[in-house]
Amino acid sequence: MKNTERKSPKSLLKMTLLLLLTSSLLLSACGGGGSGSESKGNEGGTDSNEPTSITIQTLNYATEFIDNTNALWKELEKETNTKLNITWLSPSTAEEKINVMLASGDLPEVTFVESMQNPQLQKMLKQGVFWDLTPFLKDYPNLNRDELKEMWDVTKVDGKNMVIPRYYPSYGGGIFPMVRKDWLDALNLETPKTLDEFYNVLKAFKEKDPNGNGQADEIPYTANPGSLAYIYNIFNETQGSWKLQSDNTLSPIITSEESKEAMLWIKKAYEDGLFPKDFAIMKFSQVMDTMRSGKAGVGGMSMNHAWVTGKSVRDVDPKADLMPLSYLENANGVKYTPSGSPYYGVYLIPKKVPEAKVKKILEFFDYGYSKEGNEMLTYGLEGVHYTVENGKKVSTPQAAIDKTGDGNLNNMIHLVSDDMSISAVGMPDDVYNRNVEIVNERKTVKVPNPSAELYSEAYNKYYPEISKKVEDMRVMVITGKESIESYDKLIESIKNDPKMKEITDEMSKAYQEKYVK
Amino acid sequence: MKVQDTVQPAKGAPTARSAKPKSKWGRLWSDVVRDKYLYVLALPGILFFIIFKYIPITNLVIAFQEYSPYFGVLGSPWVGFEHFARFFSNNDFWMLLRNTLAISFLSLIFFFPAPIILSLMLNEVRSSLYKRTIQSLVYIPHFLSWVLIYGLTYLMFSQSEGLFNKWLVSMNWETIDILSNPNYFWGMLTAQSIWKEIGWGTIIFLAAIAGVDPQLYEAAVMDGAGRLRRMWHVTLPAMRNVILILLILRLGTILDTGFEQIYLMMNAAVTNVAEVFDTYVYRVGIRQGEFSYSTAIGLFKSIVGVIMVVTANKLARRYGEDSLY
Repeated sequence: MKNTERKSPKSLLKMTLLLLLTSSLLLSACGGGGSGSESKGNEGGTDSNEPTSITIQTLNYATEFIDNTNALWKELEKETNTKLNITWLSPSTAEEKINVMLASGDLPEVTFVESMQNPQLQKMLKQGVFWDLTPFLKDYPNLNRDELKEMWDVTKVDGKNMVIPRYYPSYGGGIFPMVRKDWLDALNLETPKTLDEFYNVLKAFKEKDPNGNGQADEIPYTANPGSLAYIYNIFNETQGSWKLQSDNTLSPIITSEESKEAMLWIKKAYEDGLFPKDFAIMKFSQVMDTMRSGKAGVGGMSMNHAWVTGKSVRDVDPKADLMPLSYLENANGVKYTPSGSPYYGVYLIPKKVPEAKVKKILEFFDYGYSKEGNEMLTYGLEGVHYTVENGKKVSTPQAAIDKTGDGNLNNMIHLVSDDMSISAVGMPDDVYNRNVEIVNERKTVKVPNPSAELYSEAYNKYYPEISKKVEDMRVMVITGKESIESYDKLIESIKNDPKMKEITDEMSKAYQEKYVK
Repeated sequence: MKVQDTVQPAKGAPTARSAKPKSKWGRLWSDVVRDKYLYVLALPGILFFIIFKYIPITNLVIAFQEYSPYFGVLGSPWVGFEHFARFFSNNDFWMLLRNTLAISFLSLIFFFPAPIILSLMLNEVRSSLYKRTIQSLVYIPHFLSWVLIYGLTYLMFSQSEGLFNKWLVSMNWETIDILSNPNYFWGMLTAQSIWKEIGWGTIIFLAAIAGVDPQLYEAAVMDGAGRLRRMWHVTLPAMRNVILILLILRLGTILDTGFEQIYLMMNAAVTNVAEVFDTYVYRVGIRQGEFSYSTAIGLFKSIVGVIMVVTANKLARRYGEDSLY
């Protein structure tokens, strides 16, 4: 105190201000660290010896994220002569983070967006925020592989390739019944092929004690309302939320008579006790927990869960065997199986990235989609992470240490193979071979998906609200809290809603512009 | 302002410096020069408010724009009151308002007095060891996150696994569907809030009670007042100012219902009674990327909050009570 008193007030003020200034500078330097390192790298990529730094942000389903100390990460940097700066997004928060990132306008050099239909992305594509990659693509042979042709085609925006789609197989993914084969066998039941047979299997699971413990403790089908969306698709004979009419217009299935029947099917099943009592309030993780506990006979999941989840069920019940269904037929004899466009999520390069670097980034993806690079990202290195025995890759202990398999680098660029959706680390041969058979059978079922890759602004603005209302109403009717009359009333009011008309018109127009020439 | 008040006595008689009548700003400046150290002390706080509170407020203009991240605040086109019109003409507006007000008023009626009652009760406890143990125990739930409380609620009340329903079954009674029943939803929210925050809320009231002059109690005993009389005529009046100020502050956040709790407890069966402004803003604004629209809703909420605080404060002053400002 004595010292400060002697100092002149002016210098004290100066010092305080100086202190504040330095501290704020320090703070801003920390905040700016990310963007600083971005520009530090070799911008032009002209000097071919210097590694190019690339910032990437992408989805990662792994429970543990790897960083640049990982051996495979280093290998990838060496192979592509890059310095990677990857930000992983965990799936539960990805959607919000991506939206906020798009809103901030501060985009990484390789920006991942989960859905092409993202309204902000669509606006930004129109505003020309991203590079048109069409003129460059022909120079990269691996990006032009036959297996990838379709994904490049369907992701074109006004005939231009603005995005690098992330491959994901058309078949094998999506929520569809996964049945306890051992329970079917215990009751001498056939694999169900139609919706009616499926219903009877569920009933038998409830009544005939498939686990043989003498108690009626089985939950035939662990589900929540969201995981039964495919039932509506079976009844409506289409993928997605729209059905193609004979005059090349689209009609929303949300208001269709078939959807009401589908709802009543679920209602009946609920009343017969085929779903858990907490059906209406279960979160997806709770649905899966019930499956893993071994108490449930059916759960909705993608084919790789025959082992991903199947393994956990086997820990509880060693006889357990999870088998995906190939398809289900509705009363008209029309088959349904889930399928989608052969990609999931897209990468974009913002215009602020110089052209030379765009080429470098494409080179990086070219390596990732080459046979060698693609396998490396998923399986690691031969001799280090796996050995080949009888034509099959067998993982070594090092594989677990360097985190090969599903997640991490494999999530950045998926394996170009059905194995991506039907296989899993450690899956036994019999389960794998059966999955191959089933996915091949699924591939024979072609369900039209007219609304895929369509974009309508009215749809984005109004549809989520409308569909939420209907979904809530469905749950109320299914659980007996609302009458079918009030459902009919709601559907009637939606049919007369001018907003719904606007959405339908825009969707039909978008369809005709894209597919009807 | 506070700073000036505290140095008021030092000012004394007008000095030679301020002999000449000065303008308002000139006087302010001479005050600043005289109390410069105090202002330097206040500087970090002032900067904090300017940087983190006042500058962001300017971004509220996006409520009147069709905000696009690419063009930024300066380049986005202006749309006037379009977003407000869309919000108020939305069929859901009345539902949102009803739910928000219902949840808020339930919490005002049941949750707000709960800590007051608890602190009055704690004040009457004789054994200080017992009192302190109880105090510590009731603080604990405050430190649990809403996610945990949702999990506990689910474990207690779900139909298939809930302890409560299992007990009902063991007594041969029907299970009750509590979590997906719209009739119980508001009650459940209020009960959860009380369970979580009642202990924490007592801190400030107990502090007010501690300030009561023991002589007042002695005098009341001399006058033959019983326990209830003492509570009513001595303890409660001593707490009145604190209660009133907290109540005014509470009114300002009348349209804030706590996002996390409701978002976690919400499910398809109760959306009709559970959707409030906060969850709607999240769903439409963040999930669907409609930043301008959700900012408009947020602005509306803030304006209602300001009106409530100002009105409540005016009322308090009119009835001669201590007011907030």
